[in-house]
Amino acid sequence: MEKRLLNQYTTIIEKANIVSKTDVRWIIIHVNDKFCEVSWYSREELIWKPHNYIRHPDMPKELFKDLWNTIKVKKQIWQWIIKNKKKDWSSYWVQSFISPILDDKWNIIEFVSVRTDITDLYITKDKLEQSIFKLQELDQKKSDFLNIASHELRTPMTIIKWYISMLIDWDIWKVDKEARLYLEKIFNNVKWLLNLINDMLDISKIEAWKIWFFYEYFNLNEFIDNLLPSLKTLALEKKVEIVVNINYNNLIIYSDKSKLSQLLNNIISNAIKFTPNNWKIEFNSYLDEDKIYFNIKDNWIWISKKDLSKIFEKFWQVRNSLTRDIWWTWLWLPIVLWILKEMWWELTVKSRLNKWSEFMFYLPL
Amino acid sequence: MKNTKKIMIVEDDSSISEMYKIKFEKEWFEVLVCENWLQSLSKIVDFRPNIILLDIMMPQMDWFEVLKAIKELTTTFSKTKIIIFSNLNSSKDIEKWLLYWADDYILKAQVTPKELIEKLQKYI
Repeated sequence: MEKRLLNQYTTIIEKANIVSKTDVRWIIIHVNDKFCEVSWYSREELIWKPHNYIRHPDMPKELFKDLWNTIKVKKQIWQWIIKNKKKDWSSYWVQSFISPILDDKWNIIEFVSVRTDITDLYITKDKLEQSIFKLQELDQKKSDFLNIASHELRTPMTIIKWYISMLIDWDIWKVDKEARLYLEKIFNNVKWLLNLINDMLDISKIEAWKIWFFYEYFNLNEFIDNLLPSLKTLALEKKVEIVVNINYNNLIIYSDKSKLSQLLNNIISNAIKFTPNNWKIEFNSYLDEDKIYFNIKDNWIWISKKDLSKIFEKFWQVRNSLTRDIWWTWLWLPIVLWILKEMWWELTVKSRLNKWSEFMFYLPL
Repeated sequence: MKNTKKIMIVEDDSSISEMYKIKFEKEWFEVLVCENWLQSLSKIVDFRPNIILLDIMMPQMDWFEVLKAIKELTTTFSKTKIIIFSNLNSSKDIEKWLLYWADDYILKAQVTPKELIEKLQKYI
């Protein structure tokens, strides 16, 4: 009965694995069919040969010292991934288990080795590792390029902005009304371009983890009072009204002032930019339990529902559906999202195409 | 020439320093451009500027050491104002440290020539 069971165990093991046995001198005394199939040697070529006959010269000697120490001295099972050579000197990879077979007095009678051919897996793993390395390298190059390009672009843009601004400030009799109008248009676009470049720099800094946070206590009401005038000027140029609702007074919070202002400036100025003339934008901030909510809602929108999930992707471009031909690059949104994530704030965006869109985020108190 | 005031610009990019020079000279400043800290340190005593405009992106010496040196040089003879003019807007901590030695910190990208002149006029 026991013998019959043993035979069945042996059959399944030999069917599934490469199995070989050696005597105490490490001379091969048994190989199964699978061994011959994988190594391309015939049984006759292998029997009575020392087992290192199939060893690949790439394998380090230290490894076999460890093998000997484990199976001969400690008399334990040893396992490792080994590269072996076939008859034609090509190689194959096996996950190997080698065990001494002991008699009742704990003497070694022979060694049994059971291996699984993992060559395909191993080659795939190798290729994957190589391509991951390559991708990391490319990603680094891309970040470096972004960083260098935006740095280099900024200086000439600053100079252009400076001289245009000097021309605009010139006496009225030197620059006539029409020329001044064109200059102002150039100036506004240069300003927009500089913002884009700064956003690009911010993104490369985010990727390099070079942005710091500075937390302090400050009065949120005063902070908003200081923030709004420049946004209102911007809105006035477009004849857009900003309706402000705040339900708290002299609220002191602990946060990063400059990041919060970057957030609100980004969201509100873009709301102004995308809202047509004579419409309005709502800016609500309210205290609810232990959270401060900020809610920016504009009356006209550029995001369709199916695009909502895409808007935080870097360089996502949105087609302005009113002026059909213009594409806006959205660099500021990933920055906004990144700041929020770093500060553990949450943002939700809701939108009905051509009706309204709403940005809402809250910070914990 | 009405109320000639002296301004020293420390800026390594000549196309940028030239642009400041043009604007400041229009506004009746006497302008001296230095390409680096060392030049600036060696010329301060002779030039005796009312204002020093420093670009701190320049990769030379330690900022605080230089600021300290300039401050020590200038307090001996006049009330020179040190103004840092930079695009370095990454850390509030650094800004605070710089303001220990300097009188103001202006972000390059955020001011127009007119606004910069208005800010500078406050200091003279």
